[in-house]
Amino acid sequence: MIPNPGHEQQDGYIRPGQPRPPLPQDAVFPGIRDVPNARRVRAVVASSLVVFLTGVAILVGNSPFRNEVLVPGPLSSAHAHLFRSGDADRCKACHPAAHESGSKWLRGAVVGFDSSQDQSDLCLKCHQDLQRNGHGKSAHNVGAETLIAMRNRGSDDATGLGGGSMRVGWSRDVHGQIACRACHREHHGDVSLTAMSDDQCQVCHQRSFDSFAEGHPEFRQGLVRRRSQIAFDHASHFSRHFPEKVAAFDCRTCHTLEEDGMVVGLAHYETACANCHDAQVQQFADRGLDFLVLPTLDLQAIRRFGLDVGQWPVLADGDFDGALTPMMRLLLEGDATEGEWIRELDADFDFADVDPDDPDQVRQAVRLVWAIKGAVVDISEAGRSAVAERVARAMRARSSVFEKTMEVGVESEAFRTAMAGWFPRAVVEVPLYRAERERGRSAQLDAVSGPMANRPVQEDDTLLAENPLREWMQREHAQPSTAGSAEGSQQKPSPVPSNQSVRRHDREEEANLPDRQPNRTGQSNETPGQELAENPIRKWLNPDGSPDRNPEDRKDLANAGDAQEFSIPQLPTSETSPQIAMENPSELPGNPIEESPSSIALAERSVKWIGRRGGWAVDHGRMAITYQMTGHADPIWVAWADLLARSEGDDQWSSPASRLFLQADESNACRRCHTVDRLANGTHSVNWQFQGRDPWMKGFTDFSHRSHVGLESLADCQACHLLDSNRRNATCFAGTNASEFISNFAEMKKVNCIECHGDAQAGGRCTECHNYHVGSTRRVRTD
Amino acid sequence: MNHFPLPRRKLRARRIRSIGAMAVVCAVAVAFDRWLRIQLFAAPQITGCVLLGVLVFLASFQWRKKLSVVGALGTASAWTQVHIYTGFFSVVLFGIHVGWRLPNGWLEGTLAAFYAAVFASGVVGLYLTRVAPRKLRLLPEQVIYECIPDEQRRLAADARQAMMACGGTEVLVRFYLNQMVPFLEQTRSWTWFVRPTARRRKELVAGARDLERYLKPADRPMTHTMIEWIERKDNLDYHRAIQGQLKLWTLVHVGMTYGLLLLALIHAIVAGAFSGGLL
Repeated sequence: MIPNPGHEQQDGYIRPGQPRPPLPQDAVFPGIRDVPNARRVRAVVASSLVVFLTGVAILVGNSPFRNEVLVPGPLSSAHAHLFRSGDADRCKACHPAAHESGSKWLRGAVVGFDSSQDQSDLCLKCHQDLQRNGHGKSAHNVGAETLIAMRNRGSDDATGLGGGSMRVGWSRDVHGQIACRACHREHHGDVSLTAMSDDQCQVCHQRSFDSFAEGHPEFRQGLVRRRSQIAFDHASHFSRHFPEKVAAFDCRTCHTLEEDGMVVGLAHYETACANCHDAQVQQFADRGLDFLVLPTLDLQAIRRFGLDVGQWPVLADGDFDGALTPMMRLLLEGDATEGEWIRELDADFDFADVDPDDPDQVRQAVRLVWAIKGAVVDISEAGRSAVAERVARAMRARSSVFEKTMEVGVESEAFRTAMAGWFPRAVVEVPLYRAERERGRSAQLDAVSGPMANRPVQEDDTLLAENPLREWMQREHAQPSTAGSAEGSQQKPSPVPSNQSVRRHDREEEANLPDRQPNRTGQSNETPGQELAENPIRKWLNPDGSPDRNPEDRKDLANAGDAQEFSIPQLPTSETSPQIAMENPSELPGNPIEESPSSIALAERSVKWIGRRGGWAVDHGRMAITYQMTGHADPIWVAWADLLARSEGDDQWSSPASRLFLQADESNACRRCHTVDRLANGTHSVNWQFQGRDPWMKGFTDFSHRSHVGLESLADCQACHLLDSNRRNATCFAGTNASEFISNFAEMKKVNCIECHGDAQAGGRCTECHNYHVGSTRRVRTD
Repeated sequence: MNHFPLPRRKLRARRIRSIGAMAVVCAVAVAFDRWLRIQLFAAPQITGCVLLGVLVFLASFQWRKKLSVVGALGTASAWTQVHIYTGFFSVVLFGIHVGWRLPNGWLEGTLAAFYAAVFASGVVGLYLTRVAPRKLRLLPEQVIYECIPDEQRRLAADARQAMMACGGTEVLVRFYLNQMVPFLEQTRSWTWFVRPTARRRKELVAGARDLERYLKPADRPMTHTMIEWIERKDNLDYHRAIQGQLKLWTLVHVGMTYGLLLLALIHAIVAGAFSGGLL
């Protein structure tokens, strides 16, 4: 009811302004206080309070206590220990707003800040493991393409993934990506930051279901996404090989549980495989790996076209024959001047393919021979660094695998020994050849390769004057004239530039090899007949008429590094014994080929073991530098195989570099068990070990074997892993696509899990088995 | 006697409807918050914005008289009803916003304390606005708060003038001077206004009645007049106390509301800025 001033209200209220009897003039009563004006008091109090609070807010906002006042609550223990409570800048670690002044907060509260880094970016500065591949703020830390591919892999959207169509609303950051705070809410104290409900998981998944028991897709794609790194046909071993050995097929012999119960490891070779397979492996190891093998050359054909290869061992004179070993080819492809065209050679190039009547082919073969001699000389002189340079040049990159391989490298002493035995003059010939070739490159490159090698050494040759082998060379040329040298004497000497860069042989290194120098000097003054009569191979093989050394002795000596006991044989060469080169070698006295029951036997007996690190050897019978492995998992073989596999390749084993590995492992001894995967970058990787599960790698699914095998009903592995003996998978390990494989085991069915993982017992929540963040969890920065 | 503007039956029906509507709105709010959290929306930010809007709406109740646009939207009674039930709904919304936990930051704690104070004062005000009218309606006259001091002065002046005119006995005058004047011409202590009692009135009335036997018959009617003065003064004081309590409650409730709005605004800005923006 609206009051009517000036009129008595009918409701009996006495209101202000109503006509009332006037107060007497003397009606002054100080004891009767007026009531305050409520509206005015209210306005004063409210405005005072607002002013007071505003002032306090401004003061606090500019005080050192701002953080303490504004922080909405304590951090979780996972983060609390990272920040000191008194650190004024600690808010800046996670909040871009802390970098801005308070005046900008109003705009920031509505549209965010213009900073290049939003809050989630600051999270990822520490949680770098989630940022791998640049998908730190993508669903599951993988790209949308991957999610879509996973979805499409299911025939009927079994995964229920929504692909890239994320439906997270305001929890996106300013860049439209999923913000960390969508799931992780801080400042609530020790409340779990990672707790997620099933409903939250299904926000993004187009196919929703109630629980694992009700609606979860069947395991249609199998739980294993790739083949095992170690080729192993469970079915054949279970049904055939173990029964043949009368051995029990116990899964736990090979598969062991790690400490965390999450990883099913694989027992070592010695435990799981050696009993049956060690003999095969050792057989391969004993046979050795040819690192470098000299081809046999048709020297007559070479000379017929006016070409020459310089000094060349007589045992390597014959028809064109011999392939390039993988490592040899890699070293040749890394040649600074010749590598480019050598890379163009067919991957299966063999000297046997050279037509001795085709001058062009012969010329190319000669050029390749000089490259081989150059490699031997370079490695003899510079050792491991020369190998590293050549390999890096051939592979066009240095990688961790490269560094690892170069650590073991090669035994340069083997190359020095080989060079001294096969073509000691190469140390002079190769620089001359290269110099001459460099000079003639602008004219006719291919026309200068021949005569230069037979160029007689001049006394005033500056190169020889500086060469440490000068004395040896002088004695060499003081011998009776040979056919080769006679031919060479008719040639005009090619002047060598005074600034010709020739790497010197390390004098100290030479001095440390007491068995080398005496042999060179000792052998060089002998006539060819005497040399053959006292064949150094025979002397070495049987210096005192004792029986041949057995392999065990050789190993012992090699391991002990006792190279002094052996003398380096000075083999006859095409120059020191031209008659041998020209005539039938088998008719000559003392020829090792004639003496040995077979060339193979000779080769085995003529091996000279070198070095301290294991089985490097120079096989003077086969003209080969050989590495004999110490057995399974030989580190040098593993390193070189890794390096060869990592070289460039395409989809299949078609690239030259990739085929090197196949050639090196031609007996398939390694790849029978160790699979080779093609990596995303096109290179390959040899799986030397079973990878099991990386404890740092989180996949979409977690499964703890330890907590399951403890149950009596699940103690037998086949309770879940039902072996299907009809599903043989031996052939699926040959390719390089790890995802194309056949499992020996029947598909797992969800019904087996539901027995326990219904809602009532072990629970069927999404996070019981599934992770949101996937990928490696290594390297979490805590500074 | 029925003092309610609406029949009790209609009032009960209205109350049931209002409570039912509020329960539905609360259930919707809880379900909406759950949906937001499941959908990984920033639920606290969204519910915080809604809560801030609700607080502004509640505060607009006092602007109803000042803003003609707001005042034209419904009667005061309707506004009061909406204000009351919206206030109760804000409790649910506040719980949803803070996740049904006690805030433990300084700013959030202060803000929660302000909200609790405003809500508690609102509940107290609801009690007072329900009880005070009943108490005041029992009094013989209704005096608006601002008129009370003048009415008391008028009463005191009338009493003084009547005593001077009556020329009564010494006993009567002494009683008036010693007992009546401090009562009629003084404002009672603040403790009495906090908890008004009838003890003083009863003592004075009893004193006046005891005085009657010592008076001459001609002066005896004066004691009845004095008793009327005592009762009227006591009624005026009671009016002043009860209405003063209502005024004090309004002062606290409204004053705290402004503080609450200010802190809520600061909190919204800080929360929005430190969470990377609302949009």
